[in-house]
Amino acid sequence: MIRLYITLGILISLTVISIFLDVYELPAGRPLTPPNPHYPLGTYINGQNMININAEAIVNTLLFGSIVGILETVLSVSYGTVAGILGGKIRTAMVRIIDSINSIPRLPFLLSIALFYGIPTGVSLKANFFLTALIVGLTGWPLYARQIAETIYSNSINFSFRRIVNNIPIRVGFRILGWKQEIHLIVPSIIDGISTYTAMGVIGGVGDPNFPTLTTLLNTASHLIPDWWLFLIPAIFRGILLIILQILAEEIRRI
Amino acid sequence: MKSSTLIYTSILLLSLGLILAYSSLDSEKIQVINYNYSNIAFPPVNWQEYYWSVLVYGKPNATIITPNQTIFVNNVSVFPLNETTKYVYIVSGYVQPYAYLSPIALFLVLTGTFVGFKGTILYFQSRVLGEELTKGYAVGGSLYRYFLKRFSSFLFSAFLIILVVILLETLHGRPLDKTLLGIFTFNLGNSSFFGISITSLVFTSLSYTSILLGISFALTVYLSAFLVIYGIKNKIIRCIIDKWKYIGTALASWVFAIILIYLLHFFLHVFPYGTPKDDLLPYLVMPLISLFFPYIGIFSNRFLLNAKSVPNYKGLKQDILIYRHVIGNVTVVVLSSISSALIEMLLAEMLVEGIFLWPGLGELLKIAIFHGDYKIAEGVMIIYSTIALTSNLITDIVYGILDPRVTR
Repeated sequence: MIRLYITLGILISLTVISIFLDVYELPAGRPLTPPNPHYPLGTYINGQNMININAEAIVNTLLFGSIVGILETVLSVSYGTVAGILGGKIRTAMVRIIDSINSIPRLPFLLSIALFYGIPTGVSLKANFFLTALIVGLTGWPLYARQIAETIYSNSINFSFRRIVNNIPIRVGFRILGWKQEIHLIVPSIIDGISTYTAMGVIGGVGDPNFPTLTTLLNTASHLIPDWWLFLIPAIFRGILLIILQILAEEIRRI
Repeated sequence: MKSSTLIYTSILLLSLGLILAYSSLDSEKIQVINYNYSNIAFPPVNWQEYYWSVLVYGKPNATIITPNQTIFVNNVSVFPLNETTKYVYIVSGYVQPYAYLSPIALFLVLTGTFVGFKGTILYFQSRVLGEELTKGYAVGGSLYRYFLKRFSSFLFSAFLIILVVILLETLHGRPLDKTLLGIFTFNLGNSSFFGISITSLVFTSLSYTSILLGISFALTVYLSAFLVIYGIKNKIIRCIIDKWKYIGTALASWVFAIILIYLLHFFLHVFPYGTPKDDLLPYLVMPLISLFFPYIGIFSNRFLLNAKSVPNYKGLKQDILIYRHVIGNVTVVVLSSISSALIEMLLAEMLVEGIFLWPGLGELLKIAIFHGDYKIAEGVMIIYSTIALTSNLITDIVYGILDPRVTR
């Protein structure tokens, strides 16, 4: 429990500090200045302080993960609960649909969809931040929905309702599921959202210049490899963020 | 089946797979020629269908020779001449004539790795417990029925993917009949950016993906088997593997790839970085390390996760519990997910390829997205799905043969 509070504390602190530094502008300088006492993290390609740039990227990364996390949790819990409650052939069919969706290769599929609304620039694909979050969320829920359906079904096999009419009342379904299941899902869904957006960014250069994330910074850095602070610092922040989220997911699972 | 038989079979399959993958990279310069008497010069028919190695050597060149002049054209296309005359239209460039071997190579490596993993575990079990205690006495069901069941699942998933491609093509405004014809004749048309056939692009880039994936996957799975065997009994190794998952998450393959470029290319000048043209090996090292390093931890950890605690039953020796029961049961879980591991690594490789400019599927997809070439994106989606579904089918069948319990 202490580990959970510590992790949660670090995550909240990181978020609050990032939001503050996203709003509070530090002095800008010459573009691509390496880290020095005036600019501890250096400056970006437009001369902006890298502290502000990284803070904004952390906020946007968490925002993207949260949108995807909420969307995936709501969809998977709704679908999985219906499948688990109804049971029988309907559940089999619903689970089969989930398995089929899961067999579609997600990343090439997402990139193919992004080509519909994105603008190819020759070195990246400018794609709306919120639309991308929407399509990532809409394609990521089936895996979790299967878990929910199986949890409700396997925990209600011995119920009299299940034995007689093959389904169970909604309230019983939600009681079996409990609030913990939703909490268990949300952090892995956030991690899934961040990782998928990263993969889209690294392979297809997908990003929104209005909402730069840590991946956007890393993509920019990949064109300016000798300027190490453009890459190394966002990579460290990305690593820290993902480790915090992973520990958080593990600790929540232990409750 | 004896562990030695499995290990020898594995080595044979892996060697064959890697030889085929290496052969599929073989490139040669060719000229495709068309000639006629006209005022418009036409390129040779079906010149797009050759396995042009565009990611390594660039697009093929076009030269038009008439009795009066020699014209060098930037893009291979129909070219109007000043007068009606004899002409020879030459399209020249590098091709990978054996590129079609790359998917076969990949599946041979997968099967070899699968069999090798089972063989390695069996070797350690028989070394500690002896041949008699390692034997299984499970009774299986009908292999034929099992195969049909798996094959129907394969067909259903393949149908769904075809449906998705048809939907995407229709949304792009391509007529349904042309899309269907293209899918069933394995001809997805030509790339709008490169101007050559999607099949050619996909196979030539898959050759590079196959060699890198083949080596890194086999190496990772084989070594993770050794790590796990020692990790189950050794607390320090176990602890390191347990923490490795965090390193794997924070240092994703592509992040590690960029770190390696800084370290081994820019600072130490040890390895070259870029698209390999002549000597492949020096270019292969950094992508290989960046895939191997995070994944050896992730795979070993996945294995150990299923062997968290060794039960303590009175009367049974610890070795019997560990090697027969714990490792036996964990092997079942790991073998059933080995094709997913391959697909997971393929995805990571696609990310790494873009970083190292390794001319594989990832680099091809990157160029396609950067230039809005949706046909290549769909082509990559189809080949990716085909690899995923076929890998599942192959591992299911081999698994059914090696462990008859699953056919019941």
